[in-house]
Amino acid sequence: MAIGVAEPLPPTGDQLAEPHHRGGHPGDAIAAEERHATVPERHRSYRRLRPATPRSVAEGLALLVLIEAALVVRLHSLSSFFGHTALALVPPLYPRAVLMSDSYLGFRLKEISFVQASPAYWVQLVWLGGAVLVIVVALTVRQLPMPARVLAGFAAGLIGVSAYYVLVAGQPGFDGDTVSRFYVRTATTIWLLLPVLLTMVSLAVPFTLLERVGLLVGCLVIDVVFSIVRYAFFVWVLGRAGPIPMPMLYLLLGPPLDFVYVVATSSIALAHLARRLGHRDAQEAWSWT
Amino acid sequence: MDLILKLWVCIVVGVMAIFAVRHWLISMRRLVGFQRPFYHDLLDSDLPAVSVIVPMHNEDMVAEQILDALLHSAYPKHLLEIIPVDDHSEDGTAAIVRRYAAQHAHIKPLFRNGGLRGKPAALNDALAVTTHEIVLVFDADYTPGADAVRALVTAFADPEVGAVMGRVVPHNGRSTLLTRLLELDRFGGYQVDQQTRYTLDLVPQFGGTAGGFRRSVALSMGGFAVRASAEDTDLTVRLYLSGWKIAYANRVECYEEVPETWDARFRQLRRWSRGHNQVLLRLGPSLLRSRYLRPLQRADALLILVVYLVPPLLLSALAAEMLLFLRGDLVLLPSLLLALFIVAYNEFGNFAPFLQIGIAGVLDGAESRLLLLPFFFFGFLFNQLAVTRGLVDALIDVVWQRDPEWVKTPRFIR
Repeated sequence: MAIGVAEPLPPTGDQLAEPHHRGGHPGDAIAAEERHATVPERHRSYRRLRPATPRSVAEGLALLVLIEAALVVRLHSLSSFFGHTALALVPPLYPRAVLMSDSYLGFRLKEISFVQASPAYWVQLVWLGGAVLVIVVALTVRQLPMPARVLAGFAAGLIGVSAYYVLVAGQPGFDGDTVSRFYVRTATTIWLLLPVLLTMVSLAVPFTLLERVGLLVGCLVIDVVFSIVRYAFFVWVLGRAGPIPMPMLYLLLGPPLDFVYVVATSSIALAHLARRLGHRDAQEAWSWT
Repeated sequence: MDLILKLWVCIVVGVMAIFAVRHWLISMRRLVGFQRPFYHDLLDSDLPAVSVIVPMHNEDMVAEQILDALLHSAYPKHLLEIIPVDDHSEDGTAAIVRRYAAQHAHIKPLFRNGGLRGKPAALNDALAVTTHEIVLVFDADYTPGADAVRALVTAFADPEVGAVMGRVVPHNGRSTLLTRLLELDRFGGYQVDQQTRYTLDLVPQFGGTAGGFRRSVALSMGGFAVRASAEDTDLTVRLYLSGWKIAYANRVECYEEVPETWDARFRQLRRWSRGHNQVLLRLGPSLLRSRYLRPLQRADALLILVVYLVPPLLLSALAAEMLLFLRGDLVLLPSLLLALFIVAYNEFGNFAPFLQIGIAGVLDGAESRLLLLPFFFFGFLFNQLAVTRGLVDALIDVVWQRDPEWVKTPRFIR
């Protein structure tokens, strides 16, 4: 076979749609056309982004250290704000919920202490029957979208198992205070972990310093705000309805939801980056090997 | 009891951590490293003759589209042989194929009305009648670009290449929320994962369509495994076991139709999981002992093969967490990491985790489509269930030697 260097392939629809030549002086048109005729079109399959520079890596790491240091120094205040705001959001409970202190990883955290309701035997049976009913509906009503049916069935399954456990064992292995403490510790760990995770994800991505700050701080703020709302909701549910729905709430709406915030914030940042870069900063990404 | 449950959660977290490290490294490598070019940067002036097989079962909605696309191919017609295989169709597929064959001499249809139905059996019958060494395969719902045949064929100028695979891009990506998510999923899987595996000389996969292989090689390995539900993964592994390489052509885009309904997606995922796990059970041990693969290639192949075992593992870890929670003995860090991996990795049904999709989206200029990323979370349990059902199918197939039941993905073209 005779092999030579190929002529550029004709541009595809994808390439033609790409705004390769944004802006520029009108007088450059002919020169640009000439370049167009001789330089192969850059196709998306060959793109890569500008490699991270020592400076951008140093900036990213410095920002991480700064945010972690601020978190460590101000964690007590943050936890206090977290506890007080959540307590203010909890609808009235009887007996009254109060703030308590807990020590975790050397930090003093604030958590809500409350007495959870103990559902009567027939209430436990209603939870169990309700869960079975939802599972049956999820299996049979095919008009609903399948992911919604699976999600509803799974949630009902968790409640059903929990109700059965409480029926058989008499009580679960946790009380209101235990769950509350576990939730606050979880939230604290996530706050400390989030900047590390986001830095790992974004270190090689060509974000500007401002974008990086926006990504890390934005994600942290969103997570803190929603953690407070969720904490208040969990305490209220546990205080009013008792322990049966708690495993479902924790396993479905607990930490997984925190990481959904990470994905959501990162997707906003990445979409912004894709828009900002357009295709101007994309480089030819291949070399002869 | 509690100790065993905790240990199990930690093991699953450990497995997921290995996958997370792999995905991170691959994503970073694709983002900033130099990429290995595909062979179409070479021009072969002595083009080989090619057979193109198009398996079809009840494809009257899309048959004309694929045949027209192949007829408009830039490849010289005297070197091209198009073999549409009508596999037990009960609709108008056969009539369409006959009409095209009457008009174009290089369309040589094959009609299958007896024997086992399904893509592997259809491919085997087609292989028997092909007359050329290079064979390309396109599923009926695919639309190859005009330069696809020529570009794909160039890879076979390399005598070490046994198969080639192009990039798959959904053409109905804007139809429903599901197709939008699948479009993002494909971005990550091809633009980042396949390309980096090709760049790093790991083990890119032959996807059974939008690609091709050497006829003599396929025949020497006994053709396609008719009992396999994922004949593409099966061929991929057997090629690597025989010392062949698979080339990946990121530049060669081929347009496909992705499922538009969740029911169709469930069946598709279940079939993939079933086929993938069949291959793992049959060929996994041989892969580990292969003398042709370097340790890194072996590790990559193993991770790809066990990928459909992860959802059942995750479900079992969730069940263990539930019990630990009820017993008041949940451990914070493993439970946190499990949640992280569920969201960041497995919510995408194992195909392309969050980071890969995000980076592919930036490279592809997906822009606002990236905002859909968090919606993958709602499909997490759905994916888990479909893949787990597929694993159960595979186990039954292997233990009871059950005959395959080929489940065709429905078409939605309007």
